[in-house]
Formats: sequence, C-alpha cells, structure tokens
Amino acid sequence: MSQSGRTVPAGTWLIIPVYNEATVLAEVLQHVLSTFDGVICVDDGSSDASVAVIRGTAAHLVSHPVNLGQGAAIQTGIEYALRQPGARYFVTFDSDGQHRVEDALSMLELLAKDEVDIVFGSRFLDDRTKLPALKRAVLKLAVRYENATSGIRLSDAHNGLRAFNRKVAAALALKQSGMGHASEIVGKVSAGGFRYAEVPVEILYTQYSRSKGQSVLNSVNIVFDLLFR
Amino acid sequence: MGSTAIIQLLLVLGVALTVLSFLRNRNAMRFQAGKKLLFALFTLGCVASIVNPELLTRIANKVGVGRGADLVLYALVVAFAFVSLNTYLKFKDVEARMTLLARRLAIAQAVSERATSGVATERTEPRIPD
Repeated sequence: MSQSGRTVPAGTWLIIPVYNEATVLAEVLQHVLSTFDGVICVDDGSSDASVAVIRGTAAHLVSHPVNLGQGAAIQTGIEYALRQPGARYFVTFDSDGQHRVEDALSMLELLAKDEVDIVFGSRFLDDRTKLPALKRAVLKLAVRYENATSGIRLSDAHNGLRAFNRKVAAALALKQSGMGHASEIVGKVSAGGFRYAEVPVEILYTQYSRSKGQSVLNSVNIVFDLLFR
Repeated sequence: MGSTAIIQLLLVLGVALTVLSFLRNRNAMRFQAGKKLLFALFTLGCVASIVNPELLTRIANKVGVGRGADLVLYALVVAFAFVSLNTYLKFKDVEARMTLLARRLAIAQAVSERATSGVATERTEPRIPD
C-alpha cells in the first residue's frame, strides 16, 4: 500500500532516531508503517514510554543502553539496516512528525533511477515551509558556510530528511554523536565524490516539533563540535 | 614600553599555539612527547625558582612584567587553557569509544531479540539510569 500511487522501492529502510517522543511516536509510526515495511527505530536511551510504543508496532527496535545523541542513533540505524538482507535504500526520518511520507517517497523515486547516490530534502526550494525569521537566517548562514567549506551546493542545511543508497550508507561512518552529524554527512558526500540532488520538502512545524526542535543557540554547539573534532 | 610588548607577544603566541596544536596534530606521537617535555621543563623551572627566588623576577623584568608572581599568573592562565582543552578532548575520545561499545551492544541485542521472538513483544528491558 502506498500513497498517491507511488511505490516504495524494494529494499528500502527508514531509520528513525527516537529520544523521548512517546507523545507523538505512535501516530508517526502508524502513519509511516502504512507505507513502509522496513522501519528501524533507534531509541537513544529514552526515559519515557517510547520503547514500549515501538514494541507495540512492527518497527524494528534498536535500543541504546545510554543516551548518545542523534548522530550516534542515525549511525546505529544505518549499521543495523546494512545487515538486513536486500537492503538498498536508506532514509533518515524524524520521529516528531515534522517530515512527510510523501516527500520521502519522491526522494526515493529519484534515488531509484540511480542517477544520484544521495538525495537531500530542502525546505527552501519552494515556499511551503513556514519558518521564523531568525531560524531562517541562521539556517541560511549555515548553508553558506557548508557550501563554502564542503564544495557542495545545497540550499538547506540540517534538514533531517535524506535518502541514500548502499554506497553512501557504507561510507558515512558518522563520528559526530550530537547534532554535528548533518554537516558531517555533507562533508562525507563531498569527500567521497558522491552524486547528490535536492528535492523540495515541507517541514511541518507543529506546536510539538517546535517545542522539541533545535534551538537557534544550538548552532554555537555545532560549530564548536565541528571545530574540535 | 618595548619590554611590555615582549610578554604580550609571548602570551598571545602561547594561546595561539595551544589552540593550533589541538586543532592539528593532536594524536600525533610528537604532540604527546611535546606534552611530556613541557612538563619536564615545568618541573625544572619550579626547582630553579625555589633555589633562586630572584630568578623569576629577573626573567619577568626582561619580558616586561613587574613581578615574578605576575609572570607566574600569566603563564598559569595559558597553561589552564591548555589543560582545559586537553581534558575536553580526552572526554570526547572516551565518549567516542563508549558510543562504539553501546552501538555494538544495541545492535547485538536487537538482532538476537528479532531472531528469538520474530515479532515485537511486550517485554521491557531493564535500563541503566542516566
């Protein structure tokens, strides 16, 4: 079963890092599992009922014994997914309901043509996503910095929705446990000479995702982490 | 005024070198050896200044600082920056190792659970408190 007539390519695995998302997780997982068969939830040492929610679904559960950070959770998910027989495509998807299944499908459609190795989601390619002015400014600054340092041209930075093939999955080996992993991925794609593309996506800024989302101040932490790696 | 510039130059250089050395060849054997040599130098300096208390003041005057005690304070600030960065990076290294360990554990557990139960169960695992 899939939405809008699009089909999910065989061997697709959705990687969802989860940290204390019990309030919305059930709904997000139910929605995602109605389209995707291969869903991996990496619980990053949640202290709420997240693990119980995941166990109640058909999603695979990989549980960090302690909290390690979102980057570490994504890398764990990638390594687990790579072990699954026939795994070809990998999608990183947020657990707070701000990503759309529709967008993931259009990214996979592009990926399955095998013209690119990785597809990045971008909220700046169309005007669907409504952002606070400050957040937009900081993101744009991050984009400029990344474009200048990585040699890759992207219109968005730190967008959690990405789809990539086995080659990229095997090459990532993320070391940035925290939020620096987004820049690290861009860096690895550049260093590995992978083919990339961007697809417009909509980020749903709900009351919940806003309260959980990254504060603009966190960009200071990210820059520091990337400087002293 | 000319001699004040000497200490300013030395201190700025000290801070710059501290940051640069951490940004660059952090894990190189040479850097590790450098730390030990610095420590040996520090020990020798300690002994020398104890045996000859006037020594520090004379050196201080040469580089444009009034008292030996002030010179020690300035050097301490730079040394503290060095130690702080060193400790921060040590912790990061330990964290990275723990991440690999926890990941391997998590995947092994997930694989064995999936293999034995086949489907999701109600059971919850005991968890190490944060």
